[in-house]
Amino acid sequence: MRKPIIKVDSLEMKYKISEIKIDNLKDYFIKKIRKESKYTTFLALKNVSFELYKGERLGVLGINGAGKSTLLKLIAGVYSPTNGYVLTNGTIAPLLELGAGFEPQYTGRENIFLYGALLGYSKKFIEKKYNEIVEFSELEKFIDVPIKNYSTGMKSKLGFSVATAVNPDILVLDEVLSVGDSRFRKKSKNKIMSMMKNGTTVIFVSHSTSHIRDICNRAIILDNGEIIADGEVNNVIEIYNEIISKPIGI
Amino acid sequence: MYTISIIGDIFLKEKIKLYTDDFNYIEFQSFYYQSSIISIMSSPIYYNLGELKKNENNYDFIYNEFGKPIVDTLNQTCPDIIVLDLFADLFYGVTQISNSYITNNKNIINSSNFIKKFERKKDLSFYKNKKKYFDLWCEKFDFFIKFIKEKLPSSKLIIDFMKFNENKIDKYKKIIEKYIFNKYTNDKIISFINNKDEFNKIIINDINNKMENEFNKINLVPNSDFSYEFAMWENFDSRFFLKTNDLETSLSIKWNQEDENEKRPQLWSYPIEISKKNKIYTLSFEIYIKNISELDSNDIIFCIRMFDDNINWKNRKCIKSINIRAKDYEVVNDSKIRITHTFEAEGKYIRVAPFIFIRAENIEWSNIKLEHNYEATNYDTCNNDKKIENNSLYEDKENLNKKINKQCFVLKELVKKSLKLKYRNSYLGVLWSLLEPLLMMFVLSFIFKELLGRGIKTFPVHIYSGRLLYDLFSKTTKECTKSLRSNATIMKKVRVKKYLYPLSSLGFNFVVFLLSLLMFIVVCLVMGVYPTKYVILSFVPLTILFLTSLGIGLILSIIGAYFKDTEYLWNIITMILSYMCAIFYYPEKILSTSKAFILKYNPIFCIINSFRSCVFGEMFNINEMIYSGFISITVIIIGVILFKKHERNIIFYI
Repeated sequence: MRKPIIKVDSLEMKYKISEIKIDNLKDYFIKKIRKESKYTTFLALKNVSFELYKGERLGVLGINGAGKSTLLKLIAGVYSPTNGYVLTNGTIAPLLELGAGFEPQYTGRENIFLYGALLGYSKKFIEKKYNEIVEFSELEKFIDVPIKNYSTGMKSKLGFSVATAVNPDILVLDEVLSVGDSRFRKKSKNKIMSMMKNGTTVIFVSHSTSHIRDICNRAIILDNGEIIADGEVNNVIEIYNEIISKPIGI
Repeated sequence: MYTISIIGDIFLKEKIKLYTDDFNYIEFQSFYYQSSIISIMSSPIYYNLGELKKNENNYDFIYNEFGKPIVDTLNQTCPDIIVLDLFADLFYGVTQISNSYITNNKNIINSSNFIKKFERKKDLSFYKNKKKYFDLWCEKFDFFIKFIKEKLPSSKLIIDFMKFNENKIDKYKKIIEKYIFNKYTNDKIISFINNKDEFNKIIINDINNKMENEFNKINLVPNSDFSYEFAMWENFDSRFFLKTNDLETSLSIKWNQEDENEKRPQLWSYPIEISKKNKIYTLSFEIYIKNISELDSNDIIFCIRMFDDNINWKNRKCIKSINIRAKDYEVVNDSKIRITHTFEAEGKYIRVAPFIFIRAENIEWSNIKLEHNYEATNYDTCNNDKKIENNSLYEDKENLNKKINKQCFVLKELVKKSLKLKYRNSYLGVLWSLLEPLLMMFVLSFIFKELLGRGIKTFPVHIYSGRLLYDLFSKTTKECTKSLRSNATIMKKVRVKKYLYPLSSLGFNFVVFLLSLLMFIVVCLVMGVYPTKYVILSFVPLTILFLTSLGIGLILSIIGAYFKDTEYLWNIITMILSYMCAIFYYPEKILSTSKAFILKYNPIFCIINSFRSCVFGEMFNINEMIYSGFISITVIIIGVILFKKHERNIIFYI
């Protein structure tokens, strides 16, 4: 029986946007007493459903604010949807905002262990893969330097190396192919390609249609939180190009 | 149980794989020794078992070939089916030892020191002495059939005629096949199989007949959910395709209008043998029709036919035909309904056909079930699903252990991080944790000794103990307040169990607490406060303290995530609390005044007070412990509920 590896069913994501952001108790109580606490809701995703099977590589296209990142974060399990559900069947490697989330006081070595633990790796696994991770990140010289002294590129390299140490069933990518220098970019692309050859399912968000065409075999377009096209990658890109070439305003 | 004995090559089991997992009650008994039928039916050879065990790698082979246990085992188990392939007979031949034969597996025989001790009289095989070997083989094979007929009357013998990969033995195979076929073709106990489907048909029919009393509710249609694609179904067409949902596979039809002139496709199940005793059957299935207007009300949406033999069915010489038409049932547009139909069978075989002569597009069938008796049972209850459920349960248990291990590892890393960062770049390192409360104690006791200490010599111990417990509480809760906010970036990237952060705050402060505790023991000894039996009881106030800190920590972590200034507010509260905990004064004076409630109803004071009692060799106040214990459980419950409720939302606020 062919079972989907990711099943997204009537997904809805609602954000509350308060007109004035309240993040302290004093304001909160004052607003409560004056009954001023107004907020509007914003639907980032509405009724999004699709199924992804093993080996499919899905590109997610859409203009800014269309709900792409929200969708990825829902799939990665960072957010929980207000309605509907995401079912995943396998290990997920989320490659979102690489380089963020490290402990700045910690050295590279310590961060590998901490970050690996948060990603759900076991201690044994990290110990086994440690050399591989360091080698791939090309940071041998700086591995005992606190992360706060790293450049953004170095942090991203380390983030990429740790996150891709597993052979995941599902790879969630958010514009990460622009990591580091051109040599590393090539290397990371090769790594992702080799994972895809092994049948890893990929979800990839990008504005670059050429990147999507390179990597994906299926694509969807999100517009205002809804899927407006879903199908073979080249057909969908054609539709997308039509949409973005329309003049703005009318 | 339904037992299938397999005698032959190890690949035989793969070759005769059953198409269904529904039959949990099937047991396989296997003899993969590549024994020739001549060897199996020859008399046992005497040998010294002790000597064999000592120095033989080929123990299994010799035990089997010399001892001839297969016949005895078959005799005991009385299998329902014996499957035999003739690989060893064709490929190896036999060798004679005294007046018996063993399979001439040259690799083993030549390498075995044990066998060398026996005198081998003669090798026989198809290649060397065809005539003689064949005569011997026929004799032993007839003997084998006789044995089955007499000793195992309920068993059926299935002979595998599937092709071997060895070309040179295929011509000899034909000779054997011809012999068996001519002699036993009318014998009901022997069947021949050329492929998997034939094997499945024989087994399933046999099970249907034998097991109908014990397993009244088995589904007689094999591969009814199409999970093995179209195996066991006949005459399908490319216009059928399988559609997979989460839980089931259903068959969909796509009718191509342009092909109308072509013969319309049909899909028939394999012939199901009709039981002689019970001829009442119930068929049930689910059907989904997308656009009912395409459907003629006379269209047949399911068909059952009964035949007298299973060869002529294609010529439609059926005895009885039952057509289920759309108009007979309330078929609803664009939704799935379950149809059941009970009928009396005639003839010997039933075939069911979900599809026959329909013109409409987009029709789906699923969960087809044919069973004995009048009532249809739920399709879900079939063993197949149960098996999956069981598996997942087992996995869950295993996973749970793994998950807990993983969370422990994360927690350890987080605690380690806090500790490392606290002591990194500080000259004194861990020593600082020991010195800090000590210095505090000196200062406080110096200032307050005369004023509040009433000149009692152990006043510093009093101060230190209060400080020790109060610090754990205040530091844990303070850090919990910040814990979610300060780890926001990682939480926005990776799925992390959020309760780990407040928990790690407690863990970190617990380690610091243990260090200070060491210092405390030293201080006690220096000050002349020696442990009594009551010291053991001090774990009660300490446990309550941990629980209270965690409970309040959980509550504060959520509030702190929503409101930034919780942190400052809580700092003020803890400062006030520190004066209310009798850390640097003796509480008796206040307790005797009208303001005693300030201390009495302060759980932290109760805990500190009880702890001090234990240290100074007294029993603690039971009422205080019950009160603070109650408070701690209450805050833990509130904390957990609050955390559970809000942990999904806070990500948008931090």
